[in-house]
Amino acid sequence: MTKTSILTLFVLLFLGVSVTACGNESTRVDPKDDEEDPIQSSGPYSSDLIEVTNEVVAQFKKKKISENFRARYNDAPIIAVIRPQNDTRFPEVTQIFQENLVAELLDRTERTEVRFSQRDSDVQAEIAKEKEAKETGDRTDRTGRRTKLGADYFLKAKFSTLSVTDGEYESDTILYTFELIDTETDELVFKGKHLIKRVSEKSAVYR
Amino acid sequence: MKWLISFALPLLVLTGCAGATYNVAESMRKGGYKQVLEDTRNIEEFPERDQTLILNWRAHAKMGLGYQESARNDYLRAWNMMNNSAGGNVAAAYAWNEKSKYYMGEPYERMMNSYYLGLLYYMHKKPEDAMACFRNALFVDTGDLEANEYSADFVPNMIMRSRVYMDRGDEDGMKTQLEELARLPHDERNFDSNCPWFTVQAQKDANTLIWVELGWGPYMTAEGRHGEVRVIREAEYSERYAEVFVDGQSLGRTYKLGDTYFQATTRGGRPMDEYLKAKGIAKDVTTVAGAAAIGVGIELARSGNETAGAITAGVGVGLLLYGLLSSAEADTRCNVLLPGQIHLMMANVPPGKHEVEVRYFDSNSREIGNMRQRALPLLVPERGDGMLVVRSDPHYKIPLNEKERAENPYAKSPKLR
Repeated sequence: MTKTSILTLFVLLFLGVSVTACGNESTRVDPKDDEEDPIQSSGPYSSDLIEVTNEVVAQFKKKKISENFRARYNDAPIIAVIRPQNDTRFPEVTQIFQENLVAELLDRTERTEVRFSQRDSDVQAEIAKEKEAKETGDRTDRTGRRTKLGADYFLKAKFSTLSVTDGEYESDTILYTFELIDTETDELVFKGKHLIKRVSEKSAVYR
Repeated sequence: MKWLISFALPLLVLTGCAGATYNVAESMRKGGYKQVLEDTRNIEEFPERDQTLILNWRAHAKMGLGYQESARNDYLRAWNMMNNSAGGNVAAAYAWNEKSKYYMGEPYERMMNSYYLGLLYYMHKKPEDAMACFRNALFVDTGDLEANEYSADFVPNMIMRSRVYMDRGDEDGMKTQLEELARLPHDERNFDSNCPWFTVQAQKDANTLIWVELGWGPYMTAEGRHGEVRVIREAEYSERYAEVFVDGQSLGRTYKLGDTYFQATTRGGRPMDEYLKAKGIAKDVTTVAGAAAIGVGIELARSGNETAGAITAGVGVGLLLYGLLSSAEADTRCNVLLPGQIHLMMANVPPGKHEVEVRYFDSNSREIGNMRQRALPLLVPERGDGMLVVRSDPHYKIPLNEKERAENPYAKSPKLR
């Protein structure tokens, strides 16, 4: 092989690699494995979602919230999920964490153990319309007037963060907490927490 | 000769990647926000290194045309790149041209992206997502506090955080935020400290915020022998303040609360500035050394040392090409669609639908007639804030209702692909 041929081959290889590198690829990855995630953020990852949910559900069960309530009132407690508070610097975080936690709690408990009241404003507006239609006879109604659930507890998510940077590194310590508040007495019945710290590095070209 | 082309081609490919790909200022001159929207429909057609900047431009264009929900999606996509990514093409930025790197924005640009995303979340009744964005805006506007570096001083962001605290019913949070605002140095280049809405009571009394944006944000030029010195320039515009009318009644003149040129120029230098200066010197040295090595190589070949001559000349060609093709020019890409100044009007307006008029004035308090905006729709809810973001552009559109706000900007334009 001549020198020219070797160089030409090198150039073609180089161009090939360049073109391949420009293509868009998407790969399905395990949400539990954030080590495989090419994103270099110090913010929340999908694995945190799973870890935090498992931790809080385990704490909720360990505290025997449902058993204690049923022993007292002979009925399952009603929990209303209220507006979460996001004091991190990452938007779109609270909703997914809260949805996941409630879905897991519903999945891992029986309706005889705990009941949930849906308080999202759009759902509340639809329920109000539906109830009105039933009252006026526009829609069918079951026997006996039923009313909306009054909550025994509020479940509130609160995410806080301590974010610091020295220009080269960004560090975020995120505290995920879920608290259960007695709606009669404002007693904090339960507070589940999980703490995750991450550090990411920025190249000098971006400082 | 063939092997010379073989060497030169990859270098040309690399350096050829570094040019500007979209002239948004030209598009704005040609057809305003509509032109920008049309040009940027397919973001994937642009090089990856510019996509985040173009997403920000498209978001501004969508906001200017009233497509607020779609604008929010673009700001969020850009936000993820600017805050969750490690960037890209870093090696090429060092070796060849700084413009090769993926744009992630200077601190003030990252701050403004977060601020706009927060405003849109707030207007779309997602106050907690808004709060996160405003917090991030503070974070990216803050340097290494242990090293006594820059602390956040963008007042519109602080006012918006106060509004979210109030929405939460957290008066202590609002008070703490306003105290932080009160500790800022009173620098007229940054904000007007006579603004009457920096107290807890004033915040509680108001239920309407009208953010009025004036002029254009800073732009950057590459100066020096090799363009290695990046200079931040202030855009020229004549509007200096505005007067706001609701249902024909004047609420008074606006107060300046933010200045993007001030924000851009108060974060000190960057490590890359020193590197580019050194690279400019290295570029001169390698060009001269390369030319000299080629000469020596030719002489060696003439005197019978053909192999040594070829190697020396080859090294010379490599050095010469690197010197000629690499660039020490600073990256001047920036978000030129940002406003120059951000003003505020706060008031207590009865709940319901209202019409807003904004008049703009120059430094001599003369109205700039062709900028007047009439019949801007304002909806003040029973609970929470009525809010408008307007710009000193008579074509700036405020969506009339939820449907318009959520419309797909490309749904009604068959001209677009």
